[in-house]
Amino acid sequence: MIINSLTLQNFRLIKNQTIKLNHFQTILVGNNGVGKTTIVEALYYCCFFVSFRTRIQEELISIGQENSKLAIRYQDSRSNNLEVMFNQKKRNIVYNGQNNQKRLDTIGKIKVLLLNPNSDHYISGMPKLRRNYLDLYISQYDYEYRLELSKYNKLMKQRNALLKKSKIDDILLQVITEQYDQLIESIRKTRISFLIEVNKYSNIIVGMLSVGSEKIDLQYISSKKEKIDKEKRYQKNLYGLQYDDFNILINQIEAKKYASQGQQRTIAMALVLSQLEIIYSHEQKYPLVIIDDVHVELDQLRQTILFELLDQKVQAIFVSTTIDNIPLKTKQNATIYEVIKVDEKHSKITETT
Amino acid sequence: MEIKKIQQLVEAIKILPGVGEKTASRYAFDLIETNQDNINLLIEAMNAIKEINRCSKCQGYSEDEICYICLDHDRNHDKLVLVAKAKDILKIENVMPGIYYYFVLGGIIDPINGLTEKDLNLQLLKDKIKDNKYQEIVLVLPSTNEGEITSAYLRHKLVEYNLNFSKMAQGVPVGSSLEYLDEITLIKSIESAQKI
Repeated sequence: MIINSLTLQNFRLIKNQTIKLNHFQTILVGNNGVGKTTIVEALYYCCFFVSFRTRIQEELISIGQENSKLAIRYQDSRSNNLEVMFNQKKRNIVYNGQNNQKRLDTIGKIKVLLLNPNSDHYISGMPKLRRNYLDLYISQYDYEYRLELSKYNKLMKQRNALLKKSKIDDILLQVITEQYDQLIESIRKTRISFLIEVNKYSNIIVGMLSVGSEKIDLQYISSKKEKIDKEKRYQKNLYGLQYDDFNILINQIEAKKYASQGQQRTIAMALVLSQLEIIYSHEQKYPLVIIDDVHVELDQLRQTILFELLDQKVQAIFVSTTIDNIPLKTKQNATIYEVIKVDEKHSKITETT
Repeated sequence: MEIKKIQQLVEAIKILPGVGEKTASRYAFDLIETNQDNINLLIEAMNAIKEINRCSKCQGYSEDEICYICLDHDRNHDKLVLVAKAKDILKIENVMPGIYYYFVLGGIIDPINGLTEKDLNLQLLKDKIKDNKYQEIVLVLPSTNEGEITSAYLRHKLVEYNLNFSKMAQGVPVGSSLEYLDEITLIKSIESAQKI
């Protein structure tokens, strides 16, 4: 999959601009706060139809505007167009000229891996972030998973609402619980298989980045099934996927508690970049890789390995405050854009030579 | 005074689902502009709504205590078609008239929106099953999570009557192209492909 261009209209600080992406490396440079991450956010939004920065769609629309539009032209076995138009209330996804496509059907048409400073939270953050990691990345290539997850989320709310009733029909609770348990089992099975794959590829990457001295293990933690009587007393679901997590061990030690900052960054890179091979093994195409300000904090050796891992193999976007942080070899072949702020409300993207 | 009456009309039209201020105002002015014969026709039809009741046997729409479908003895006595809403019967009868007997559940189970088993016409359904010799219940319910919960619940609740259950097939709408199908429908269609 190759993304040819991205158009942003009234999207945060960008009024109306199209940027052509290099088939290999594109570099976005600019000072802090000028809107580099806005471009990353736009690409991410076209993949998942949610932002990684906000849950409120309105915040994505430029101040003083009512509607926003993103458009992507990309190439896989054919040329494709994906457009997303939205305002405060509505969103219209247009795929190859067909209006009102469902989000569930369109997620993963464009595949994106995002490595940014927040990726470290996969290791040190709340369990919800690790579940998000599983759901987002599996959803990119597994349609059945998306379907089951959407069904599960609805059923979880239905079961919760039922448990809040003062008088509960036991047969109805049993019927909903049977369907709930079936979905939990199926989704867990997919998540566990996925983690086995991630574990395999992550160790290759960790091995490269730490020169063979570190090994990680990923272990899925299923929440324990609770007795229905207890759930009735508490009037809510006390078990389910929303209580699951996965544990990351580095050299047999829990990474969340004991890994250093550098080790956490290495693991985060491995968790994200392992998706390259996983997505390729499922779909025979590589996703777009976005490295947003992450490489800056890496030591020289790790930086070199990261750039070599991506060099001439996949389409990648590097976001940085200065071009000096990018290796000469990458710079020579890349398309470089500078993002500058025109005024308080607008930014401009210019190609530099 | 006149303006108050127009506003009263607008408010009355807004009772209809999906009709907001703008649409209601448009309808109100259209009605004011239309001729008296049309208004009388509308008033007559509105008044007749009071005469539309529910059939005591199937809970479908009826002008009498028992509807014409339940009084028709020439239909298939083996199957009972279960629908969520009374209007669903009219849809089926429009395309397949005179074949089945029906029963209106009155909704589907949806705890999020406050609808539970208590909101279904379950006792009346049991009475209808007891009074007849149905072999099969055909569930014509929405193809949603809530529809599935309701179907599974009914199968448990009616287990004592030893009935077979079937549900609507899911698949490609007649005359549609694969290009425009959503992925769920396409998967369901292929999974339930039939021998030809």
